[in-house]
Amino acid sequence: MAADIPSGLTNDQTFVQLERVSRKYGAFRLALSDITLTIDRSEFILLIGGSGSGKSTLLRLVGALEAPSSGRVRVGGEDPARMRPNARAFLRRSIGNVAQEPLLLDRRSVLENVMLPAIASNQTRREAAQRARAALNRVRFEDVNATAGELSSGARYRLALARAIVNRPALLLVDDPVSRLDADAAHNMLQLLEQFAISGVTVVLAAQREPERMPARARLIRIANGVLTP
Amino acid sequence: MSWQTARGFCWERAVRMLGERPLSLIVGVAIVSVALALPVAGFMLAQTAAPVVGRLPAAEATVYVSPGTAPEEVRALSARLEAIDGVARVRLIPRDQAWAELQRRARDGQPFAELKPNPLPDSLVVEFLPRLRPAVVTAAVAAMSRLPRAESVQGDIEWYRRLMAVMQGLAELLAPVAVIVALLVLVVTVGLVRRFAVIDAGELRLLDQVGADEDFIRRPFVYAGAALLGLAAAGSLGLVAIGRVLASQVLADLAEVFGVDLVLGYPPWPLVLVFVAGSLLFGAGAGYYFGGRQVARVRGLP
Repeated sequence: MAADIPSGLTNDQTFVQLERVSRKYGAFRLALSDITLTIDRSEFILLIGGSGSGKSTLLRLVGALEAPSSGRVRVGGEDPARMRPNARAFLRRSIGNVAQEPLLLDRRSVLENVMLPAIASNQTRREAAQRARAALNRVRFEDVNATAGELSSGARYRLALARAIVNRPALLLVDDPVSRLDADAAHNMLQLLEQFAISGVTVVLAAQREPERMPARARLIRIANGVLTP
Repeated sequence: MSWQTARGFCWERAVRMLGERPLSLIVGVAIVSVALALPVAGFMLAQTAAPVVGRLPAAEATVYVSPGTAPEEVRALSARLEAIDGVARVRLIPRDQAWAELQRRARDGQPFAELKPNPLPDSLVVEFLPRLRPAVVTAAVAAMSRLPRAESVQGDIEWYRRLMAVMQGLAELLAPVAVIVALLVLVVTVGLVRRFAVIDAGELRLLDQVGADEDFIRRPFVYAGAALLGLAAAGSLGLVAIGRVLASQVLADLAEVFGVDLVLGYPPWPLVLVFVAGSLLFGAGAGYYFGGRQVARVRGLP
């Protein structure tokens, strides 16, 4: 899979940069505190931390879904918090986001769910369907006509992953898929994500614990209580 | 074509948005149809009533000329009367003509047999402009009575004052009624579009997350709003057509009683087109606004 790098994003080796980033919810809940982090293009990051450590918040900031309370996040040289909404929407097309609890269109088919980002990116229906089938094939999803609402938890996650890669993203953010998969499925998922990284996609995978078989290419980053730890 | 795909998707979402609550859709469209039918019916009634109102009698006054006034002085008086503000025209009724008429009306001529010579003066009948303010008529009558050679002025304008008061009352009532109807139409239509704009927040969040731009996210709301108001506009025209059929017999009876033409006509078709297009635009605008509010609610970033 070749990553499409949207025009406007820089081709620098550094793809994601967080400078002294903090994120506070309400007056007291500090989810992230003074995070500084650099992620290079086509790097495979394994972000390890327990529940409530700030992994998901960090992924949401990098995914241009939230703005930091202080500090600066840059993705491909752009600061999403300072972009106009339509420019930010354009940036998001180059970011594949798989949330911990994936949002799906439950009454629609698997294929329609995966086609959605492609249609929203102005692809024709035929192109969107072709891309969706290719993405589903990539995550080994066969029953494309099944209704999303009837899928098991693991299948929903794979569907969300297929949707995340349908626009051939430059950055893939995957939030905790391993904890809901058995050991073999988790290993397959890690291999798949490593392949994406090899093909040029920057991958950030959040997980609660280190996988049993560590991918060779992965850089391990630990997070606890909103702070990166050695 | 990609734009066709995107618009097709948005139409599909709009139809789904409306179709998810069919009962609400039917009831809502029916209520907005009634609301929209009110101004259309009001226009049709005004259109029908306009010629009748235009034919309302104007005020009149009669100026009796002093006895022994020469014909050229009568003409001069007539000219002065015509120059008074609010006077439409002046008609001379010579004393002989008035006398002959009086005798003709008294069938046997007895009451006037002993009255010789003709005791009547020349008179000038003054017709005022239609729908003139009663105060202007009163002032004009007063001015007439001050003119030389005007023996007396008979300005029976009490009936006119009452008629104008009724007309003014109706006109004053019309403005607040029109405002209330306009507000009713606004509240009901906006409420309906708003009701349908509240769809699954998860879907909106998802569209925002996958990089759909503002227009793509808002477009289904715009389509749904336009479709709702389009349906309601069509419904209102249907209701008006039914109302016209039902009212036709009543109007025919009224026309016969008052001896006037009373036919409830449809508004001219360019106006109907403007009405339908305006409804569509209003629905689209309301959809755009409420869609934007929904999107802002689910967004993490401004």
